Amino acid sequence: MYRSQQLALKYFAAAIALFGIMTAAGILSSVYYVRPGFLLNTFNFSTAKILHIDTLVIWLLMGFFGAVYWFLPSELGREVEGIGLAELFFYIFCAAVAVVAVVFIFVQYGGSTEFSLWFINQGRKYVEAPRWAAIGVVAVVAVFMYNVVGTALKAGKITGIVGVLIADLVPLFALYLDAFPALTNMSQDLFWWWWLVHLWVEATWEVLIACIMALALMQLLGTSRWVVEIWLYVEVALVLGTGVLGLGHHYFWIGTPSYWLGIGGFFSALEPLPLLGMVVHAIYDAGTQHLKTTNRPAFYWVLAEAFGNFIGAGVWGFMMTLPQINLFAHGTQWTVSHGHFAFWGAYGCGVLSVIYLALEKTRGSRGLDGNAWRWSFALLNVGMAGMAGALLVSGMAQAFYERAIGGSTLQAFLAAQRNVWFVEGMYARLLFGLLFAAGYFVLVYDLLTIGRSRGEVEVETRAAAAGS
Amino acid sequence: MSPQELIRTSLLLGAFVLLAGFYALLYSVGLLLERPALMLASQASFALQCLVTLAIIALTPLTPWWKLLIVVSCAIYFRIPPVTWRYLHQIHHGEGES
Amino acid sequence: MYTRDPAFWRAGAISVCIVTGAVLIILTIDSLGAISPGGSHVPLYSVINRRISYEYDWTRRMYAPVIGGEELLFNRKYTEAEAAELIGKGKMVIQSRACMDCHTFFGNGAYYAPDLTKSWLDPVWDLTWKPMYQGSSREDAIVKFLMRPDEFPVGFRFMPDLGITREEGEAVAAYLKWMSAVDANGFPTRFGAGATR
Repeated sequence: MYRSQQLALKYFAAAIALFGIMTAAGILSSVYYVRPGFLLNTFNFSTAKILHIDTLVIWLLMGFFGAVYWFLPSELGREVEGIGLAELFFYIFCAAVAVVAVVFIFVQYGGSTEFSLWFINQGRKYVEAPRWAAIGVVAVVAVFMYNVVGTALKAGKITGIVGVLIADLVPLFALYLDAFPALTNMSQDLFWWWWLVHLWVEATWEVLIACIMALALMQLLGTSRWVVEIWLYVEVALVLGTGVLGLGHHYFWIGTPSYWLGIGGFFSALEPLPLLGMVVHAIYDAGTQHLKTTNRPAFYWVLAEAFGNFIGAGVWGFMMTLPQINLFAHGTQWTVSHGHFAFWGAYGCGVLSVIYLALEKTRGSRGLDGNAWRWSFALLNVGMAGMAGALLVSGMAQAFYERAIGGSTLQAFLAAQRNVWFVEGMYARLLFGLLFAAGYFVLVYDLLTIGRSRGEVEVETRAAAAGS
Repeated sequence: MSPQELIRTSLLLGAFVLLAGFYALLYSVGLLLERPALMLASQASFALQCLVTLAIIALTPLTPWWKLLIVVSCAIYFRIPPVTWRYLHQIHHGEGES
Repeated sequence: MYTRDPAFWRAGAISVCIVTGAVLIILTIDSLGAISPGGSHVPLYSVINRRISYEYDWTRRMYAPVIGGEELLFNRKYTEAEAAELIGKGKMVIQSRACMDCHTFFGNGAYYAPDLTKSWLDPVWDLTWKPMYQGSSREDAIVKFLMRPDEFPVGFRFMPDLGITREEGEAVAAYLKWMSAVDANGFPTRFGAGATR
C-alpha cells in the first residue's frame, strides 16, 4: 500500500470520528428547541450549533482529502509527492481542530477585540474558527494542493480527472481566504461570505466530489476512463453552468440590487436538471454494470448519493428557491430542512461510499457485504429523511405564521415557535435524529469489522443462498 | 402572496420536481428490466407532472415569466431521461472502439 | 461523433465556466457599488442620526426602508466617521459573541433566535422592554437588555448573558439601527404589520 493510501485511512478515521461529534452536537442542538432554558449560560445553543456545523465542514473536507490521497497514487502511477509533509499536516490539522473545539467549549467567547477573532471565535457561520486556525486550514489545503500538483508533475502526466481536480483546487483554496476578514458592513460581509460558502458547497465541492466519484466508479464498476471523463466534463459543465450564477439565490435579501432576484431565481431553478441526469446515470450503472460489483455497501452509498442529491438538493431546494417563496421561507427551519438533506445527499453518502471502497482493498477481501451495513444504511437514510421531513413541517409553519401572517417581529417569531405544527416537527426531528445517531453507531461497528472474517463469511453465505 | 398561496405554490413546485424524478426513475428501470408496465408508469408520472404544471399556471400567483420557466423546464425534464440513457448507451458501447 | 470525444465536453465545461464566471464578476462589481455605504441599497453610517421606518413601495412592489428627519441616537449627533467607528465596534461585538449562531442577519445565521434585520423597528422595544428595563429611550432599552438579557425570563426562549458592556451594547444598538435602514428587497416583508398595538 502506498504511504498516501495509509494517510487516506487516517483521514477517513478522523472524518468518521468528527461525523460522530457532529451527530452528537446535532442531537444536543435539537434538545434546546424542546427544553426551554436548557443549559442556559452554561453551554448555550450557539456553542452546540458551532460544533455541529463546523465539524460538518471538517469531516467532509477530511473525507475528500482521504479520497484523493487514496486514489491519487494509482491514478498517477507513483507515490504522492511530499507525502511526508502531508502526514505531518494531518496531525497538525487534527490538533488544530481539537484546540479550536476545546476553546469553543470552555472559553466560548471573548471581548469585542481583535484578540477574540484571532484566538477564540470569529463568529461568522461555518468559519467561526479563530484566525490562527484558519491560517492552519490554509496551510493544510496548500500542502494538499502541492501534493496533487507535485505528484502530477513528477509523474509527467495529468489525466483528465486530475486536470479537473487541479483546476478545481485553485478556486477552492482562494475562496477560503474569505474566512479572515471582519467587515463592518453586513451586506458586504455576507456578499463575500456567500462566495465562500456557495461556491464551495454548490460549485467547487461538487466538482471535487465528481472527481472522486469518477475515480471511484472506475474501480467500483470497472468503467473505462474515457467514459468516466466524458461524464465528469458533462457534470462539471452542467453543475457550474447552473451553480455559478445560482449564487444569486443567496443575494435576494442581503441588500444587493434586485436584479439578483431574477438571475438567482432563474439559474437556481435550473439546478435540479443535471441532478435528474445523475439519477438516470446511477440507474444505468446499477443495471448494466451491476454484475461486476461485489462491494455492495460502496455501490449502495453511491446510489444514495445520486438519489439523495436529487431529492435533498433538487426537490427540497426547488420548493424554496423562487424569490416569491423564499421571501417567506428564508431564515426559517425550512432552510434547515433543505440544508441537512442536501449536504447528506450531495456529500455525506459519497464520502461513505469511498471509505467502503478503500476498506475492500485494505481488508483484502473478495467483496464487501453483510447485515450491519444494511442496518446503518437504513437507519442513517431513514433518520435523515425523517429529520428533513420534520423540519419541513416546522419550517413551513414558521414561514406561514412568523413571516406571512406575523410580519417577522419578535412576537411573530415566538408565536411561530409555539405553533403546534412547529413544536411537533421539533420533537419528530429529535426522534429521527436519534435514529440517525443509532445508524452512526452501527456504521462505526461495520467500518471496524467488515471485510474481516465476519464479512467474508457473510459474502459466501449470501452467494450460496443466491445459488450462484 | 397570501400565506395559503405560499404553501400551495411551494408544494406544487416540489411535486413538479419530484414527479420528474419518478418519471426518470421508472423510465430508466423500465428500460433496464424491459418492463412495458414500468415504461407506462413513467409516462403516467410525466403526465402527472404536466398536470402539476397546469396547476402551477392556474392556481399560483407567480408572474407569467416564472410560469413560462416552469413550462420550459417541464419540456426539458421530459427529454432528460431518454437523451441521457441513449447517450450513456452510446458511449458505453463505444468503449471498445476508443 | 464529436459528442463522444471527451475534448468536446472539456471545451464545453471550460467555456461554461468562463462565461458564467465573467457574468458573475461583472455583476459583482456592480453590486459592490450598491452595497457600499452610500450606495443605492445601503445607507451611510450616519443614518443613525435619522428616523427610520419601513413602508410598502408601490412602484417597486416591495417593502422598503424610509429615511426620515432627524432622530438622534443616545441624544448625540454622529459624524460619518464617528458613526462608522461605533458601528464597526458593533460588528466586532456581533462577531466576538457569535450572535449569528443563534440569530439571523438578513435571514442568514441560526434560527434559534429572531431575525435582527429590522429589530430596531420591532414594537417590542417600546412596548415591552423599555418599561421593563426602565429604559430612557428605545436604544437605552436595547443596551440594558443586551447587558442583562436573562433578567426577565418571560416566555420560553432565553438569550444568555454574554458579558456585553454598556459601551458594547451602545455599539450594537447603533448597528441595529443602521442595519434596519438597508434596502433588502423587501425582506422581511410586512415587518411589524402583524403586531398588536
